[in-house]
This record gives sequence, structure tokens and C-alpha cells, in this order.
Amino acid sequence: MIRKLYALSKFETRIVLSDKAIFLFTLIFPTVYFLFIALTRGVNASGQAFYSVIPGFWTYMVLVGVVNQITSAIVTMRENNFLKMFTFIAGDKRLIYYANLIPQVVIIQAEILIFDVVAAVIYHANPAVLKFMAAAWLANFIIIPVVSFFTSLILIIPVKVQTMGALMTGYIFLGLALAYVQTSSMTIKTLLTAINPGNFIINMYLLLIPGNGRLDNLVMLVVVAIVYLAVSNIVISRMSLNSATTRA
Amino acid sequence: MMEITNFNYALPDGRQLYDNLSATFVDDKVNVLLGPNGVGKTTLLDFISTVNLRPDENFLGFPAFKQIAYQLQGVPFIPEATVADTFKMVMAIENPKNQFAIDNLPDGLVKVANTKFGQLSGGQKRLVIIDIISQLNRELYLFDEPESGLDPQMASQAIARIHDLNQKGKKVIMTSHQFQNINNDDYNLLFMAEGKIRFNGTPTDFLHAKGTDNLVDAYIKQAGMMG
Repeated sequence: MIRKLYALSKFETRIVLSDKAIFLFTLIFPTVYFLFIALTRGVNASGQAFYSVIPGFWTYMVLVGVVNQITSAIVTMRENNFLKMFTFIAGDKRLIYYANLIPQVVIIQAEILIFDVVAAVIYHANPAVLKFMAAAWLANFIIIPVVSFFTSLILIIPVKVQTMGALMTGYIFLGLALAYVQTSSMTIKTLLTAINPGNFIINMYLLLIPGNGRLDNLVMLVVVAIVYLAVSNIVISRMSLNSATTRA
Repeated sequence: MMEITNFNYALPDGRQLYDNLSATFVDDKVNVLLGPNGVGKTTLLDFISTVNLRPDENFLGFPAFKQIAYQLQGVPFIPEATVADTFKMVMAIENPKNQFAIDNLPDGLVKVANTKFGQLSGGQKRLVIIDIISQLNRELYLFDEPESGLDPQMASQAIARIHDLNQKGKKVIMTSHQFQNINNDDYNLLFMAEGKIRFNGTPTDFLHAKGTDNLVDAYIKQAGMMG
């Protein structure tokens, strides 16, 4: 299993890195927007300002990276019959999913690292902020797969490639719009986190802000992550290999 | 021996594709599914391969998913990957001790080893996929129109590779519309029409049954009987 995953991931990484356009949406756009805002409106170089602005950029980068480069990629593979072909070669469709996920985790993390260097320079980040950035970056190794599992639910819908772009744009827009909805009600917070990966990401980051860690929030996030891990494993192993639009 | 017994299946639009279909696939011959377009050959391979849910009560003696290799009718592969990278990946999946070298590629593919899959001609893509499938170590191999789009020389190469697999003890089922390479009784023909297998036997038996010495004529006679 590990041997097959290694061979497939290596192959996938080479393919992914051959297309430089992937860096446009997840690195260039947010970095340019961040610099534009910082240079035109000025920056309040305080920890609080950093904590309220930067997690939003990370949320965007993770969500867009996962939706565009993992979930959409799997749907496209299914519609082109690559998924069917690769599954017969690998012997298990979950391997194809994980082989797609692993390089993307590395790529998204590399993009966030580059963005973080820019953000740290602009904000004149102090040691506490740098510590928060490091913690958030390390947490991404858990956040990115969990968000990927979240969005894998899309794989059970027989969505067509032609409608994929519009669907994903709406999904990302809604995910980001709802992400910053904060409430004191634990029930609503749990509900939002359970239905929206944007809320899951932002709540994870907020948990890491010094003095912000709350056990009930941590437990809620861990439970949501475990549920998605279990559900997605079933979804991925049962997703159709057949294209929703064409025959093999 | 692999068998399908009394299998019924209707398409989502209500058309009855298989009507009590029964078929016998022989292990030591290349099984060739024949029949007019749209008769359900590819769908039958999808059932055999378990891409479509395969009912145990109707499908007897077929191996499990992990023991099946399936060449799809299209030529789906990652266009950005080179032929060499693709072979390297497949060989690494099969066995990490496999040391891939460009010289290991079959004749005709060495010169395109560093060409991206998307840059190959349709025929070259199909040949690459057939060769990739042949590298896999499985019990049953399914080939859906392996000669489609290939020139006669390439088609002959493709069929030779498939025949070779069977000679090495592997079970093989393929669909086809071409007969120029079916030239002996190493093949088991299954002619499918109107939801059933209408003929199941060797090319010699097929020719004898249709009173001709040409497989194309025999096919046309069989298809005409149904039409």
C-alpha cells in the first residue's frame, strides 16, 4: 500500500509541478492583494491586527488550494476516465485520492510559507506572532487533509466538468463568506463548523492565537475532524469510477 | 472457466440491454466479444470488471477487482506525463525492485519514451496503454477494442501482446470489430446481439456454422440474421 502510494505520489508531484498556473490562484493572487492593501491603506503592525487579518488569507489559500487542486482534480479525472484507468492500475481508488492529496499538502504549505515570509516582513512580526505563524503552519498538516475530506462529499454528486467551475466558485465564495461568522452559541458554532470548511479552518487558527485556546472549541473541532475523516473514507471508497457524462 | 448465467439488465432509459444473457469464457483462449455497435459489449466489461455492481449469482468464476486489469475503449491518461514516466510509475507500483530503463520499453515506443502522452498520436496512445496494462500482474485482462484506431502493423503488435498474455496463463476477454488478426483457434468468439450471446465457439466453428471461409462474411451473415 505504502509502496504504491509512494510511486503514485511521486508521479503526481511531477505532473503537478509541471503546471505553474496552480500558483496563480493560491499564491500570487492573495499575496498581490495583501501587498496592495498593505501598501495603499498602511499596516497596523500589532499582533492583534495580524491575528485578525492573516488567518483570513490562510483560509482562502487552503480552501482554494484544496477545492481547485484536489476535489476538482478528482472530478475531472473521473470525467476523463483517468480515475477508472488509474484505479485499475493501482488496485484501489483511495490510493488515487491520497496520491493526489499528498503533493497538494506540500505545495499549499510551500505557498503559505512564502506568503508568511511576506506577511512577517510587512507586519514586522514580533516573536509571539512568529510563534503563532509557525503553529498555524504546522497545524495546516492536519487542516489541509481534513478540509480535503470535507470537500470530498462533492465526489458523490454526479457533477459535470462543465458545471464544476461555477459550483466550486460558489462553494468557495460561500465558504469564505461564512468563515468569519462568529457566535457565542456553541450549537451554532458547531453547526457552522460541521457544514462549512471555511469555519473549520478559521476556528482552528483562532484556537492557536495566544490566550485564545478553549478546550470546548478544541473538542468540537476534533470531533468534526474525526467525523469527516470517517465519512470521507466511505465516500472515497464508494465514489463512482464512471463519468457522469460520457462512456469509457 | 468464467461464466455468466441468465443475466438481465435494463439501461436507465428502460431499454433491455441483456435478456437472460448466458456466456462461457474459456481460460486458455483469448475470448473475443463481437457484435454490432451499441449491443452492450463495453457495459458487459464494466460488469465483469466490477465498475458496475457485479451480481454474484449471475457472474461465476470471475476474479475480484484487484485481480483485474482493464484497458478502456478511450485512451485516458495524463497528457502531461511522458511515456517513460508513466511506465516507470506503473512498474514501481507493481514491484519496487523493478528498475525501469528506456530500453525496457517495447519496440516502437523507445523513440517516443520522452514524449508527453498528450503529444502522441491516437494509435500510439492506445499501444502505450495496452503495453502498460500488459505490465500489470493480474489474473484477468479486459481489453475494449484494443485495435481501434491502430494501423495494421500496430494492430497486429497489440493483438500479439494480448495473445502472449493468454499464452502465459492469463485469462483474457476483449471486444473487437476487426478480424484480420484472429487467424487460428486460440480464440473463443462470443457474438452478442439483442441481449443474448448468439454464438459461442472457435473461429473454425463460426466459419463452419455460417458456411463461409471468411470471418467478415460470417460476421455479416450472423448480424444479418439478427437484423
